[in-house]
Amino acid sequence: MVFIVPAQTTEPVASPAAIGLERPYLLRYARLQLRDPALAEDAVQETLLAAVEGAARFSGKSTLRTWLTGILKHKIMDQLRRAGREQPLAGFDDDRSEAEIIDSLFLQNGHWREFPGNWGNPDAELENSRFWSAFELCLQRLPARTARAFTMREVMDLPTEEICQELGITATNCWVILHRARLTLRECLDLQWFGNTNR
Amino acid sequence: MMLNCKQTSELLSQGQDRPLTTFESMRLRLHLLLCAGCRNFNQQLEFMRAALRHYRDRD
Repeated sequence: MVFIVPAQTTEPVASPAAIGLERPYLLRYARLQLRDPALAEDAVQETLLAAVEGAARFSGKSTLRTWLTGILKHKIMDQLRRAGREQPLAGFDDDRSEAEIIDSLFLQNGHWREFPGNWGNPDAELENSRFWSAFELCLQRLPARTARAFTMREVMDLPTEEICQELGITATNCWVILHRARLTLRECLDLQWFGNTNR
Repeated sequence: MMLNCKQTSELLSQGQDRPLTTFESMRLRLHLLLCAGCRNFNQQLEFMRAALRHYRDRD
């Protein structure tokens, strides 16, 4: 008996069905950056539409997900710019500057006010759904402008130069905001999860 | 001058955003050798980056 193996199609496939399967991923990505379910939904809709209409442009050199993420990044940036024109983000969400918040975590001599403790083997938490609730809570607690810079860096993988340009700030200012974001996220995770021995 | 913890945390954070100079890396290494709190912070920075990517990419 002879099995005839159909030749692998050389055309990369970006079928509407395959594109649709990536929707949950794209939505999660957009929500992380935009922090607004309706805006995230819009950005994803626009991405799916552009992808289906432009499916012929998918070369197959990258994975479908990577290609779609590239389109989504542009749609997210459009959303951020549009939203920024309509209602610019206030300087900062609380009265203290980012530098003051950093200062408040250290003593005058530059020592930690509270020494960061050991988180043990935190990778083990990645499988724990309750950890992710704490993680989401801590991300949501970051003030809007701080979170925007931080997720541009950590979710969208943008280099700091691009973030500075988008937000209209200096590189130094950008590093200060990112430093503050990391210190605040660390402090929250420590309080909500790692420091809590009764979890 | 030795780096203090605040300066160390600043450089560790920037190390996630730009290449550090040889001099900066050397001063960091020296401080980290002597300071368990900053060693913990360094590991936590790496963990937070990995966790956020895991959260973004999980299926």
